[in-house]
Amino acid sequence: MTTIRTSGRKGREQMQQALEKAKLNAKRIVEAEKNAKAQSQASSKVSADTATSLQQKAA
Amino acid sequence: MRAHDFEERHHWIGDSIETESAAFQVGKARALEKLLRFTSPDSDEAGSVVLKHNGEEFDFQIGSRDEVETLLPPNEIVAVLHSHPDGFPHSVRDWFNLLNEPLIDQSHVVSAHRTYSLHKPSNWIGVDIISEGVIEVALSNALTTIAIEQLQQNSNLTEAEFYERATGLMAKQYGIIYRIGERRD
Repeated sequence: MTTIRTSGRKGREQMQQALEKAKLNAKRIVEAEKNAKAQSQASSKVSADTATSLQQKAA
Repeated sequence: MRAHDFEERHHWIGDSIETESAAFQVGKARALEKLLRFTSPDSDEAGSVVLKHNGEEFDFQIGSRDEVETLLPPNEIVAVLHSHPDGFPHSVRDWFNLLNEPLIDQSHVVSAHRTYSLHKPSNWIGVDIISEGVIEVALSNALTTIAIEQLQQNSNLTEAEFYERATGLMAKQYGIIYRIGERRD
């Protein structure tokens, strides 16, 4: 006959640790996404400014 | 409300299940009654019931808050119901038992106000034996996904809500039917 053991303290600790790690990971991921977006917007602005400046010079 | 009927004792949200026999429903309602006294947050004990599909109880064990050992019959499909005093749904070990043990086709966690139910669909193709470590990674990934959504939507979730939503993602991943039952009583 098979015996199974249902969860207990270890299970709860495992879940709580997993949640804490997940929250930290999520923060890092969201921050990294924000930074990447900000950088991309900054470089788009630089490109647009350069293009405008070149157009003005050409005119 | 039919107090002897497990379905009628809850307001269910989530996936739908196949119709079950009245005897099985009565058996599950009886098991629920037995387990309710272990769901209080200060309970020192936990309970577990192994139930055959004809509604007959195969095993009932009381253990410490930390662990309950339960017997499964040699070759009969069963549902396992057990109590959680913390209000959390299935733990890594509960998932491990359900996914790796072919004799278990339903796993129900009874907490103070809710019942969390996982059912293997009749056409479930199964998974290769997986370790608790692999399930832990799946849980972590699911929790991270929920945590990212929470940050992006600027919402506040309780711990239990985190686990409930992560359980939903894991159920999808493993092809398991998942329902949350808010008890009517």
